[in-house]
Amino acid sequence: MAAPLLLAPALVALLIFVVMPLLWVARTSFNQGVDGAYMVSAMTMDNYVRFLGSSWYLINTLWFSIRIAIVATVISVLLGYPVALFIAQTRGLQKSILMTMVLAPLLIGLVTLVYGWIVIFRGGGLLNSLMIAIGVYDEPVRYMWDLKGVVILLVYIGMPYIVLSLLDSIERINPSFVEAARNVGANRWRAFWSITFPLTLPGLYAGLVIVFTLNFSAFAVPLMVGANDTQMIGLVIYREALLNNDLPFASSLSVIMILANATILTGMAFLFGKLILNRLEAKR
Amino acid sequence: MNASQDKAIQVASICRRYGDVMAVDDVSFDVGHGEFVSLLGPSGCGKTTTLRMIAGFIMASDGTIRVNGRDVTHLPPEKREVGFVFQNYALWPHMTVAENVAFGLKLRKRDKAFISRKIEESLGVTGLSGYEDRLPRQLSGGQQQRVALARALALEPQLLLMDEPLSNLDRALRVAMRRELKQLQSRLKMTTLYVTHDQEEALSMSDRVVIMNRGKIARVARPSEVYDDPQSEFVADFVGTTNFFDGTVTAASGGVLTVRTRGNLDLQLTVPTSADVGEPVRVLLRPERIRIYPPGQDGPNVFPGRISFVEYYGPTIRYTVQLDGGESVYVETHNASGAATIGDAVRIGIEPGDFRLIRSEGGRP
Amino acid sequence: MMRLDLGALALRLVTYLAMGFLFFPILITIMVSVNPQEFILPPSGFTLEWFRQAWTSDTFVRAMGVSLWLGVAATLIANALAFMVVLAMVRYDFRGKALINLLIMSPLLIPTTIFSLALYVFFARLGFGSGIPALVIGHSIHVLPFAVRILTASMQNFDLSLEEAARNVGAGPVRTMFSITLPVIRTGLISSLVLCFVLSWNDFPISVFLAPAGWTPLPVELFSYIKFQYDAVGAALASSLILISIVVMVVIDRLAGLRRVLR
Repeated sequence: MAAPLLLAPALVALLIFVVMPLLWVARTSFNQGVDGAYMVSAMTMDNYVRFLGSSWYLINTLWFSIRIAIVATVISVLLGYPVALFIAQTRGLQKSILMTMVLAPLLIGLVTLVYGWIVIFRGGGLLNSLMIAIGVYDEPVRYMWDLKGVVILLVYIGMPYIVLSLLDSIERINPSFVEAARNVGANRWRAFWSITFPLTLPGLYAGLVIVFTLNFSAFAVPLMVGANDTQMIGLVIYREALLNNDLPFASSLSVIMILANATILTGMAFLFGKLILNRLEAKR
Repeated sequence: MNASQDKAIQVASICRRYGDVMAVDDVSFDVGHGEFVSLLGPSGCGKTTTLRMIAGFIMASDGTIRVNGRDVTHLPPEKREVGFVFQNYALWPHMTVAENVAFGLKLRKRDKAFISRKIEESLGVTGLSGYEDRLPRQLSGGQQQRVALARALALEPQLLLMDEPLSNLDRALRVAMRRELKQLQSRLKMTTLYVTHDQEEALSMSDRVVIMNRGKIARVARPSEVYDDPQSEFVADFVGTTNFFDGTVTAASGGVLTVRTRGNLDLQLTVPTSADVGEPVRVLLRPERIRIYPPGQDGPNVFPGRISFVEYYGPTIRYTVQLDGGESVYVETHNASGAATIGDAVRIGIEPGDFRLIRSEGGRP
Repeated sequence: MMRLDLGALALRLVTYLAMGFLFFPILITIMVSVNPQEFILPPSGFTLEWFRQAWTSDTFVRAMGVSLWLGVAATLIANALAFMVVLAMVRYDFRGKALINLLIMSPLLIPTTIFSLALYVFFARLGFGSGIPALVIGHSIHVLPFAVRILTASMQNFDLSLEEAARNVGAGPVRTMFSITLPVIRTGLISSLVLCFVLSWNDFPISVFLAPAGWTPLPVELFSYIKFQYDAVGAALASSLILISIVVMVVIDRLAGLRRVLR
């Protein structure tokens, strides 16, 4: 029972069903799509030109996805940070209950969760009734199938990851760090901003990487609650692959998405490196 | 008849290599039937590796291991039929005490009645009757230790290997268990190979002690021989406390050697070891062999000095005495003999027969 | 002093708001599912009629069967692979461990959209875009990193001398595995099995890419259902899934600690 024998099945499976498919996507992105047929093997940049050469795609899909992802990620952080701080202070049963509530969206399936939101947001739904009752609107407004719905759901799904990552960071902070800061004369706020906050940045960074990628590549959320004006890139990939059967175009979009995501994450890594990570990971 | 069948364990030139490191390097020793032998040494000396090679948890890179004459060198552990008691007990947490003891018997397909009699017997011997249905986590450390022992004894092994079995117990319990273990071993006449880093344990329990250092055997001898005649610097230093004097033989006549030390003491020795005049030697002396003489008493090795440090142990007191020549020695006396304090002038005296001598090899001082 | 209390109060307030945000839709779904009058809130009574309809609907029952088979198959495949991987990673030292670990965790690092599309394109290349094998493979690989993570935690805490003790009293390697190793790590093993099953059972993105016509897992079926009609039967099904998931969460939390598992 040597190590290679034990590893072989999983590694072979991952090479065949993860690495090879990804390489095949890269290759397919240069193929020629044919209407109503599978595709023609080729080496053409047409698919890339079709996307990158179109200002409509660039603005309404790529830039739009980035904007939505940034907005949803920032809201997740603004909401998740205080929650993580609060949960870190709790103990026992209260902590268990809070953790269960935070983690529930991660385990309960997406479709199941969306159901409740549909009830709330649909025309004539709960929110509408409330708004009409308190006199904000006179008649039902179509909330669903638009941008707000997408952002709200992305925050809903992303926030738990932010809380989890931050909690790890916060709980790892030695309490005497803050005590030492108070001891040399920092008040609570100052101690938080000078000691606690910088030390939570690694956790925040880990959470941001996960959540931004999740948001940027999302297709299920815009598919379920989006409208025609929410052409997020993940949704376009889904539509081109499954509805239009244009695998080369869907593949090239995937490559573009991965590269764009990698670029943004690299920028983020650089920023966080400058801010704190380089210091915390400095070698002697 | 092969001579090796007279021995319970016969270890011949075994080695264990990890990359470039020899964890065990050409180790050979025997254990006779019914004998209690300890493997003693500092951590990392290879004693546990040696024991685990005998049990088959680690395969020897080289050499042969025989158990009751049978070559087991290449057998998997389950075919070796040796009892083993682990340092951390290794009680299976999902089985009760009785199930832990019974597991090996079930593997041997013994019938129910036999198994329950064996459980009763081995738990009785280890003083655990009534604990059959407890889970390991419900027992104290000492009780877990007994279960580990009972589990090994239930299989009636011809040989018991123990890997620092008492090291996780606190001191009072450790000393009590040490006595109990030794009495049980004597009563059952159980051949035992016992790994420990605790010299007190090794000396008090063993028929013979195998002292290891850096993967090699440093000494194999009875406990009293090990202590009274260490024969090497390492053994002298590792077992007990020793005063070392470096010097040169200046005279040898009539069985008496005179050694001039670096601190210009002239020591008169009557030792079995012979040495030539002019040869550099190292002289060993146990602290409790040194007397503090009252004024007026005289003898062959009497040196004046001053007490520079006092350590009070209870039954004994250890003084550090700065001799007038510049050397300093440990002196250990019984508490009853009255206390001296730092700065007191004293005279120490040593019987010539109490010294031990190591001839320096290869020019080492 | 005043300011200090305000900070703590604000923290508590935001947390409660966030918890409300997280739990409100779940609560609404459950309320709708037991309300005799469809979608009129607050509920005017209590009924299990919607649940009865949901659990006797041919479509849903069939989809549940599909999800069940899919979940069990993916769970068993992933855990068998994961157990071997973990044995190798925890017990042996070899070069390239970090790289192998990266490869094993890669299904978590690659966006699900890309992973699903890649498998779809790959299987299309092999001649079938979606199908039962593609779906089972997709789910197995998707849950594999979670199984590896939980089992690694169990195996790292496993005391090797427990196995040595079994070998010492005469058990062979296979017997030792089944009588000692697996029972001792059973909480981790059960957590891993349960979590993998739930992740597969609730998965939508991979299934929607890879599920073949006529073999639709429950989430995809529920999605097509609510796309065309919102009614309390859908709510009842959603509520059932929520309740099952919460029970499973509590079980995993008790056994392995939910946080360690999901991170």
